[in-house]
Amino acid sequence: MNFLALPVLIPLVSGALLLLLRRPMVRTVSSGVVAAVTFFVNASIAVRTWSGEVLTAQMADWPAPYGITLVADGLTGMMLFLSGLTGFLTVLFAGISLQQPSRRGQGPLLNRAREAFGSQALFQFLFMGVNMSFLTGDVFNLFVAFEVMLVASYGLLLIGGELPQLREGFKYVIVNLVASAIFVVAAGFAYGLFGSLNMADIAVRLSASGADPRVAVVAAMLALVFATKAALFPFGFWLPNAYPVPQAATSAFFAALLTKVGAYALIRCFTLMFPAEAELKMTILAFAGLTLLIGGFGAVSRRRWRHMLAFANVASIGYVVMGAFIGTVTGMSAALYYLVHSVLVVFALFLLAAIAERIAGESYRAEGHLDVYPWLGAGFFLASLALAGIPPTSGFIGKFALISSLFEAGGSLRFMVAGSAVLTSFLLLYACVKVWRDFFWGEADAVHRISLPRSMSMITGLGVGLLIVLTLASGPVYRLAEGVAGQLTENRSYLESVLVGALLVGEGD
Amino acid sequence: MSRFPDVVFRTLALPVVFVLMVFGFHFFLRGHNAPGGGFVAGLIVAVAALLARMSRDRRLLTLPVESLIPIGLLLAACTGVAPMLFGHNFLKSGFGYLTLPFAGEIEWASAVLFDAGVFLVVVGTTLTIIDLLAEDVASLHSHEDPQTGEGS
Repeated sequence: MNFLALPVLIPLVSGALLLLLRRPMVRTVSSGVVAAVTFFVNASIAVRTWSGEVLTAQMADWPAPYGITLVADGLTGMMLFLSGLTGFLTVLFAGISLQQPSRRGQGPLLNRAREAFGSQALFQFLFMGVNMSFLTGDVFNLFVAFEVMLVASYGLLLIGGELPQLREGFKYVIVNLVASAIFVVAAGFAYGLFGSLNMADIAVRLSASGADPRVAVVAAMLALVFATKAALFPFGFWLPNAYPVPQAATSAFFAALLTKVGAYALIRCFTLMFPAEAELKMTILAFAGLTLLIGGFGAVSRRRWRHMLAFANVASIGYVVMGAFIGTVTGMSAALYYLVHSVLVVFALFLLAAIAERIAGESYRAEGHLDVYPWLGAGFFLASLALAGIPPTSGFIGKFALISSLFEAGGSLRFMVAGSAVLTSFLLLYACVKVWRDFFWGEADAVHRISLPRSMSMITGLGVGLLIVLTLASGPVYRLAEGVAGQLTENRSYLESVLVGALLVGEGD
Repeated sequence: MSRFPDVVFRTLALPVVFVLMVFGFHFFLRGHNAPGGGFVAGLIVAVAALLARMSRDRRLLTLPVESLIPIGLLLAACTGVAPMLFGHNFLKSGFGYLTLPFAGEIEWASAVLFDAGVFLVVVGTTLTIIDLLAEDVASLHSHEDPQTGEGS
């Protein structure tokens, strides 16, 4: 299955080539083309995995558990599809928005300089890291993928060098360096404990060896690292100020997908390697409940577009992790459905915010824009309904499934988490109503009238359109999520495909 | 960048540069089966280039160093992709043995090209970083000049 290496290879080669190209137009066009190809490859891998097949590729022909294994099961397929889709739209949006000023009162020079200093190449390296972390089958390679992704994200966050970028970028780098250090220590512990870093191999050995308190330590360290990347409650303090500072397309991709990589790693880690760590899973569930509240209250408190949305993104991470750690298959399938929804809704909202900032500056307290920009209002209306979870939108379906599976599973902690999930939905709705009141309603006298590039509006429209498509296709997507959740709970096919022909050490003794 | 004033340093730098280059090449080759390899060799050669630059006020490499990074990445990636064209997995290394006059039997491996890519990336990155820092320092000095009369 050589073809599994392509989602990593295409961005790598094209990122290197983009560094060599000299003309902005050529760079923009070719990165768009390459992102389309990556999307196509990711989608074709995804479609194959959704039939229940688990694809594997052993790098350099070294068999698992000794070599590097790339694995694609249903969850990987889902994430690859989302990363290909949002990556493609991000590159297109960046291609246009980098020729424009970021916000009202700024010239286009800063964004052109960002393009000239390699924004598009950094995006490709970011996609490489993201795709690799979805595909990889061993813990150390996951670390490498995270590093590739993080180094590219440092660049993207800092490029341009505005004061808030430097301030928040510094914190972002420090937090992630510490997290990476803990990650590598945890990987070392895991190797000392299990004698292997291949996730499937660890799973087999663990199920054979039984309970061991040292396993809980390794699991807790990994959970801490992934919770930091996913911005879960006590470790998420860096996110809400960091994501609004880079250029628009960057923060859209960061919010929509980069935080979900942490959520993906948590899900993968605790379904495959440590499904038996019940207390730890309960702790993560409780933290997810607190994350929800932080996200909800934070979104209400902020008065700037992307700052508000960054908190909304924290809340959406809370929903996904909450569902995944309920501990039932229904909860997991609800979480996976919500994951798809949250990637699309956060992405659409960030694109809308980019346009709004271009028109009126960072703050949303500038009334009267509905008269002048009715389509922006329509798009925001749809996306905010989906964010808050008002029926008929996909957000409602996801939240309904999440909360009903919390009640189904029972237990006082789960009831409390369900309570915070409902409360957060109201808070998000209130935050959106505030934006609606302050930005869209009112007299249109003072509104700044500019002509937006049509292609920018079209991509944003496409982002909102994807939400409608998701709502209409809820049945098939939900069934897919159920299938993937079933596959995650019953790991047999994953283990067998990875360790095919390998010595199943755990079963021998 | 200004010339380093110390005479001893200036006289010794050039021989040391050549020793370092040979040493780096040795590390590059031995990395296949022993500690060493493209990364370390890249660092050693970057130090050699830096020494040459400090002592002679002239660049050892005249090409723009930052373009070494994408070239190295491409070289490494292409070495990884090449086995896929022959139906192997990504990154599979070909190897064999050949007998050379005087040297005897040696092992060759296609992984050395991958290492060469790593080498180029490391040299390019290190020198780019040093260049940028040196530019910063130089611009600081040029700012100091009119006020204090100091600086270079």
